[in-house]
Amino acid sequence: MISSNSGGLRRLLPVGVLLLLVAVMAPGVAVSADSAGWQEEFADLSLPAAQAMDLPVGQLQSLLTRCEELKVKIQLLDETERKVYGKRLQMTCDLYRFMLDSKLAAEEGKGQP
Amino acid sequence: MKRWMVIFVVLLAAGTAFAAGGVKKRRVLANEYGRVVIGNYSAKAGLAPVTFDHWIHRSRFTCRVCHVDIGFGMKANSTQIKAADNMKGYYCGSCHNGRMVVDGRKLFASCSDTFAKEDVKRCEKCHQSTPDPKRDEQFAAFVDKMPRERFGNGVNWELAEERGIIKPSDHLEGVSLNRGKMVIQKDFSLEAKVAGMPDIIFSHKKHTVWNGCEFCHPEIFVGIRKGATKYSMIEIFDGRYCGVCHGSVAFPLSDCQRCHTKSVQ
Repeated sequence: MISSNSGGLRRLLPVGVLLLLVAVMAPGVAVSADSAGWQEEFADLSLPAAQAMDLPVGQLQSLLTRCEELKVKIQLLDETERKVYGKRLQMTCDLYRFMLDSKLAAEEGKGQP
Repeated sequence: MKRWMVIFVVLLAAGTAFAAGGVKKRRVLANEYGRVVIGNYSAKAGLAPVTFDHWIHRSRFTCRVCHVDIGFGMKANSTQIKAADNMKGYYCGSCHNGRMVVDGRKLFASCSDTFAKEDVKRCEKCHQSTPDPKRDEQFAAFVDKMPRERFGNGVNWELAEERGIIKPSDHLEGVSLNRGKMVIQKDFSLEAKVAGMPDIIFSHKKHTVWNGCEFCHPEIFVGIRKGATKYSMIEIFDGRYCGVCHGSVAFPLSDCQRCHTKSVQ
């Protein structure tokens, strides 16, 4: 009885070790996936800046919403990355805001007699 | 008579003192133009502040690579760069990492937490306690090959690029994003306030080729309606608007005809 139990335990041992490893490594994997996520989002958000003049109002508004979401993630990074990417993102977002305001002001101007 | 003599001597002394000290700013030498001294944390580390020369860097990269992609601020000491940032490969460490090769030579690494006696020379490349005469020689040799200009560094940078003498890169591998083609606003004119002074033709094309859009808007130029912001030369000389760059790095404001180009009607 004792021997069959210990045999079962032995068979379960690799599974247990595997589960333990997954439990230990999971937070790290999650963090790196999240880190890759913010970088992709940063690139996606920054690339349209070169064509900011031609972007429609709707797209500028959507980019600005995403900017606010990304700012929160960047605040969680280490000091250097926060400083570098925080500033880069701020410049891009400010440009989108500037373009949006310009377009809205232009539309307003058109409506005036 | 004695009284007049005393007044004369006092006035002479005051005049001499004024002339020696004066209120007029010394004209910056060509090799010093665009020089920035950065010293947020250097003294704490027992080092001299960093002496940064724009001329050598702008001959290789556009303004945008450093001030947008790398993230250097537009005012000295505003970025609060730490040695640790450089060591992680940011700011100066983006290029000065001991790996990047320029003209067949490895660029020196910017900072390290441990260093030997022989590394001191490397530290002093940036943290200069006394002016480096070699740098001035380098500058003289560089300027020799460039189209000349009267003010600033004495270099017409725009012409130098046009002629292909310099090829400033707008991309730094691992730092810059692969930007698409830029959409550029048309050139426009700005009316001069002084009678007889030619109007300014502002070229967006000339500026965006080195700067991009986010470099100037909205941090430097906030106005969203053309003509809404009135620019005065007093503000510009005070380092606002065009004066953020023109007067410290780009050709100085004393070179009137570079901006006031429209012929007088």
